[in-house]
Amino acid sequence: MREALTDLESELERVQDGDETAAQAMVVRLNPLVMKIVRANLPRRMAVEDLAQEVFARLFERLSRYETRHGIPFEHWVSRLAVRTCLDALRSERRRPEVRLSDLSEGEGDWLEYLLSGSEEPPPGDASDARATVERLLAMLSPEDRLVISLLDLEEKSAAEVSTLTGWSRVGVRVRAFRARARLRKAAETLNERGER
Amino acid sequence: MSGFQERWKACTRLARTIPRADDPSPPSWAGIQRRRAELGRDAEAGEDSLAWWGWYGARGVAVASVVVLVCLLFAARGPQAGHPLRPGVEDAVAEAFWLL
Repeated sequence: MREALTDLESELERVQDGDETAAQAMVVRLNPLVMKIVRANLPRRMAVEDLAQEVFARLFERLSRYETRHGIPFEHWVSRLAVRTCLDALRSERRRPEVRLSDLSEGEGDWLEYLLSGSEEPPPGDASDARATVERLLAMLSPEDRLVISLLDLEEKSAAEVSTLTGWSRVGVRVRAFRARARLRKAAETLNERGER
Repeated sequence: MSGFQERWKACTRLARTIPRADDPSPPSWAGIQRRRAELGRDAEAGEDSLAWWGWYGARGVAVASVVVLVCLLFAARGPQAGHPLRPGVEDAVAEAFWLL
């Protein structure tokens, strides 16, 4: 552990001293972690690469603020930075898409019907329909609601982990999740009503 | 848990089974450096605008202090000179004081 910390300290020192090779190696090492967060919280009209670039630019801009002695693992600090960057990008999306029932594929329509009905049995469609339905409904939520549902329900993080990533209190995360799920249901009902009119 | 929540969980459980596509390669180093330089410039511009506010803010506080001192002087000297400020004027001064 001590050895790992020393390795990290020396890596950070080299990057802060302007060692480009060390900085590029750090980008390669952190890329899977950053990409995972970016892909799960990507605004509609933004490329994954652009948002990842924004995360890394902010990371190097703020690297001097990271202190190894504070006990926060470097990867947690990076994850939090990535989540905050994604949230900023989602907030800067001026308008949320207006999804219509006619935009949904047949499989997605079946999932929407299942979500709103009292049916016990999920529709027979494949997982991609379920994924598309989830993404459509999440896109109708506010950035904060979308983030909390995505982290809890899709990435299966605990409330404590979401609290660490976002900086919100644990109680705040639970309250936000409760309200976000209520709004999710409302979004599904709105989408369904738009189709019935 | 409500029926909707249970069905939502079933939907996300299935959605999670889709294997993730391979991660794209990391963003280019040149792009990261370019964006970092832009962020640095934005931060400097932000500091400049704060400095502007600081410049005007300090002068605003100085002017307000002088006005308050003048008001206090009037308030103290008026009754002593046997010419207390007329109620209307006094109210106006008090109002100006509170507005500041």
